[in-house]
Amino acid sequence: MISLLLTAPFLLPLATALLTVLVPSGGARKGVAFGGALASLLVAACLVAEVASEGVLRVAIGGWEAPFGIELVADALSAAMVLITALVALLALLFQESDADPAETSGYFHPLFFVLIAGVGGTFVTGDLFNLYVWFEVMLLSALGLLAFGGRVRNLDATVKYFVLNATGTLAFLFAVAFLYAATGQLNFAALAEASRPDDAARWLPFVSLLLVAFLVKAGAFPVFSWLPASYPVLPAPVLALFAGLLTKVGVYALLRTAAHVFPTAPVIFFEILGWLSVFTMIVGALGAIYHYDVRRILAFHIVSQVGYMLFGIALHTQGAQVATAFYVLHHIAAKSNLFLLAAVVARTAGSYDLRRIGGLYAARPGLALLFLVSALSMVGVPPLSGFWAKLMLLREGIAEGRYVWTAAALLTGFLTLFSMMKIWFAAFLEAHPAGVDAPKPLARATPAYAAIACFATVTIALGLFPEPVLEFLARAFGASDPTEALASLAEGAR
Amino acid sequence: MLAIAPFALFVWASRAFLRYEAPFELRFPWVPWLGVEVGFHVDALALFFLLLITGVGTCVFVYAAGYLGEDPKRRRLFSWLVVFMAAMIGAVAADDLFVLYTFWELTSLASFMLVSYHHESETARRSARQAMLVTFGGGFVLLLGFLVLAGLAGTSSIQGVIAAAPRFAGEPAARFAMFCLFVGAFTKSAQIPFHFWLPDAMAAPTPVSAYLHSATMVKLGVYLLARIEHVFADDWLFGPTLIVVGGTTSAWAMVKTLRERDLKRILAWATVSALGTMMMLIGLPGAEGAMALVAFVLAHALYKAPLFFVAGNVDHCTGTRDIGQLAALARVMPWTAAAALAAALSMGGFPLSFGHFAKELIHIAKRDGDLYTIIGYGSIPVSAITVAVAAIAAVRIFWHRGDGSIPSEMHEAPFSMRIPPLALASLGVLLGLSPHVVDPMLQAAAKCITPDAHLVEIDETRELLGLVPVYALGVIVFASWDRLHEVVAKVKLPSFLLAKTHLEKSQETAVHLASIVTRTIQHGRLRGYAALLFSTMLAALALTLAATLEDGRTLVAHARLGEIDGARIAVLGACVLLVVSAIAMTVLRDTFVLLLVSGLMGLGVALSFLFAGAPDLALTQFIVEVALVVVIASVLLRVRRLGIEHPPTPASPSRLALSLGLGAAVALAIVAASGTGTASTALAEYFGAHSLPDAHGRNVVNVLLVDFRALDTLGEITVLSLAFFATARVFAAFRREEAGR
Repeated sequence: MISLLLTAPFLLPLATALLTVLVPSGGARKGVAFGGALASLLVAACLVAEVASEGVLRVAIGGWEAPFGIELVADALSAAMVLITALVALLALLFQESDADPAETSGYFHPLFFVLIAGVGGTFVTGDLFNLYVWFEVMLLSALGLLAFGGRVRNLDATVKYFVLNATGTLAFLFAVAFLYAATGQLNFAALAEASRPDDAARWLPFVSLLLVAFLVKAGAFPVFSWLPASYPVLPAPVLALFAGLLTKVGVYALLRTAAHVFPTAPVIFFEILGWLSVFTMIVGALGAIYHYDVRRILAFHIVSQVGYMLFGIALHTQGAQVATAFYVLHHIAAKSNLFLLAAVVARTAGSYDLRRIGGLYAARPGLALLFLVSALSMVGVPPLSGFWAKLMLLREGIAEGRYVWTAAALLTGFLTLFSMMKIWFAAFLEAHPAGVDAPKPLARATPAYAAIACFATVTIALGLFPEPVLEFLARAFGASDPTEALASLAEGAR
Repeated sequence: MLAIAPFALFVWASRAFLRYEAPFELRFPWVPWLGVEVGFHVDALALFFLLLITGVGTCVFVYAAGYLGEDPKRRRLFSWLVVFMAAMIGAVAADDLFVLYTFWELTSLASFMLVSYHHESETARRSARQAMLVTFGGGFVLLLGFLVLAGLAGTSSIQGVIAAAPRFAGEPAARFAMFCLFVGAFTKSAQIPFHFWLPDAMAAPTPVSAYLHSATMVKLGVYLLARIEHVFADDWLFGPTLIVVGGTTSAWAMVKTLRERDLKRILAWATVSALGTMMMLIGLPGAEGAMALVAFVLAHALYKAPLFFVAGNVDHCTGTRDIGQLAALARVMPWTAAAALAAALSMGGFPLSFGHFAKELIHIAKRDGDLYTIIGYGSIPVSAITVAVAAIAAVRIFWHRGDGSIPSEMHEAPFSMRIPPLALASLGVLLGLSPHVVDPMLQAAAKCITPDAHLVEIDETRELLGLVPVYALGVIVFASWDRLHEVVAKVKLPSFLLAKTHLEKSQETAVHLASIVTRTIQHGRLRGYAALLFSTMLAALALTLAATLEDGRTLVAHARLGEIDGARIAVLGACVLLVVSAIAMTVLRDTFVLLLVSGLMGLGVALSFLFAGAPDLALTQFIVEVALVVVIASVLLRVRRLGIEHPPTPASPSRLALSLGLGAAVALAIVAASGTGTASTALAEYFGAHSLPDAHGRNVVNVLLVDFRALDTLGEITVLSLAFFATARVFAAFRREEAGR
């Protein structure tokens, strides 16, 4: 039972991908895809329930016990991430059924889509550093295929940039894994944690730093985020929502996991540098959003700046900040994916992604305007939406830890985010459409689009109104306030 | 119909107030993990504001129904008004700082949505943007203050913070929190230097201006500071800051009033001035300040809201709000004129009005303490202009004979627009006739601010004498309004003095800065991105290596070569081949040569495998390298034949240095990693021991691949098949691009 729950996050999508290749007709393929996505969501819900009642789940693949074989581990953080991944996948598929900037339907779409989900799912449940690398590779390749989808020169340009920079980052990851294995003789997370005792930790610093760079590339952090704004804007909306919601967060997850559970005893300088990087990530991302006029570019830069917030939480390195970061990730996935879907509906309705060429949507589509406001204001951190608690907790920890400059930067970023969100609000919704009142055109298949958007908005509102159960659940992943204690309990489980 | 809800609440609040004995509380947990609970603490001060919100709210809803008529967007306006009212009620009742903040931000949001109601108009949008930036920006700072305060007190309950205040009084963090709260309150209540958004917010429909931007929302800042006055009262900066800021705002706003022609904007500046007076009253020492504050808040709501209604009626019925074009309206609009007159009496503080009562209390509060006498004198011109403004709104446009250019089509406002201003304004006069009716209420509310607040005896004759200069000056200002206006309007203020320009400037600067930073970092050239990524990797490795291996000896000590035998020498030779070809790759330019050298590197790797005891790996590597070179070479040949080859890029010293540096750093890292001597050999031993008995395989590497770490292999197989899919897509893209040409 437990081994089923733990392997499902990647096996189910992989099986679905295989089936969609084998099924000949388009209709059946769609059926298989929805079936697979729904099943993934159900199993993910079961996983959350099981973790909630039983605590951390572990399975040794093939019966080869840790630290010798590959171990799958699901704690509260993993389970929550798996659940939100399944939700995003399902809603992205649903959105694909609308006519708001969908990916072109060909035999390649569903296999690539589901393998990407498998890669993301594998990342969240693995308890092994090299296995994590393998899932990174899976994600990289499937992302590449999805990027090349549009089949235009700009797609190729984006694909090449994405590939070169991400492949280099992944290569750095591989190097770091090799170094760490050479230095410790271990690959299992718990075993690595045990090997890196505080008195020895400084010696791993070069290798952990290289790992940090690799994860920073994936997360889209300063100064190595350039692939993100360069590649995201060419993606079709459902894929973009998937990428924006999940891919950078995989990098953040890997960092959080590493910092909280694998190398919690890393020297202070490690977190110091991470903190300053987070400040630059926040501010530079927010400035990029102010500069651009293409809604997708604005939102892509917002991802960068929001990743900065998450790094800020990881850098604070307290239990509260780690819970806050995990909550931030969940909130961000729901709100950010939704903003890209909303942008697609806006662009399809008003005629363009370029803010200078659209307008008049508040009068024409008040419902859409409200849905946009929910996600946008949640990003800014307006209560009582999900982003408020995420930000509140981070600021609180920042003040408590005496990190005033970082905290001030986070506040300033909130203000800049507001500024650029208002830019979208004014240009797309309040100002009149340059082509006149009748310019907004209705979607032909609006129901799937609005259903997906409304689901995400519900998650954002629900997380805002009832954050307590989620926080309590997430806190279990960072149970002990003393990091060495958490380490000991993890290591004990590994024995 | 909508007015029933606020009216019912009003009745409930009045009942609660009449039976008021002790504050009642309502708490249930919200986020216990953060110690935040949905706590409400309804004491006399909260009830007082609740009465204001629901009472004025009732009138606003009645009025708005008439004002909007058949406006197709009216449902939107009503929805946001309802949201606003709920948020406002929540804000004054909340006992938790973060619950208060939630409602506080909601009122800002509602204000933003209502100011941009006429979003077709550029002015409305600009004003809404400004209001949003100022109030939300202030809100962020306020949140920071709340966080610090909650951290100091160990609780986020307002009553808890007040109780805990003696523990942290005098700490620098407490003063920091105080200034954060100041910023929040000043932005909300339009104090200098954040005052400019309020007059511009007059772009909103009149019911909104009456409700949000004069009677209720803008008083939230005043409410907040009154509520937590206790916490900071001992800080010597608390009172003086409020007096200086409030006093300056109050005076400056009156000067700005003279520059306006639009009736609504004139009233808005008067509101800013009144808010300044309220801030000043909070800052004044002594028990009388609280009493005066409460009375003035009530009086202001009772005269300013009706005056806005009057302005709305005039606008609605004549189509203009320019006081130059309005005159002698009393004949056509007798009801509105009556309401205006009653409200103006109170605003001017004429005897027998409630405004007079409030004004007397203010005078007494200011007189308290010799230091503050100067404020008493300084406020004479302010009061005088207030009198003049009241006279403009009531006398000039209704009774004064104009110079003929009066709009011809005029009519009295509909019934629903006459009742609300009349009701509120006459209440203001009636309460003035018998202030003792509301005395208990005001005292109870004032006691929540300062426990020893009490009603003071008013010496009527002395007060009246004190008011003589005010009225005299007021009449002069009124009589010479147009001339004063011309003079004041001509004065061009240096732009650095205007906070509004600063906000606009800083927006421009932000956009400018954003464009510079973004174009520098996100320049669009892959080569630059890659260089940055490699530099980051180099920096991460080099700095940390330098830090961990401070003395080179540690490194050398670890880098043992071990036994020298034939195999080792061969591996060493392979490594030399690797290093040489790697360095060669950084300087060579021709694509074909590069390819061949990279093949040579592959050969070096294969050789090192061979002599390190892994002949099967070496074989695999060898085949892969050969295949790779052959395939790429054939592609390159094709490219060359088609003549679409890129010219080789010139060598760049910086890139060369980067490559060599990164290579050296990685090499050093390898030495450091393998030389730590701490690596556990448990895994290798385990694999060796279990490969044959448990996994039934003689080749440990194969068993690793298909059994011990089978999951990795599953992933890699997926990657391989994906590579096929991904390449197919890329090729399809190329083909389509060619077909498209």
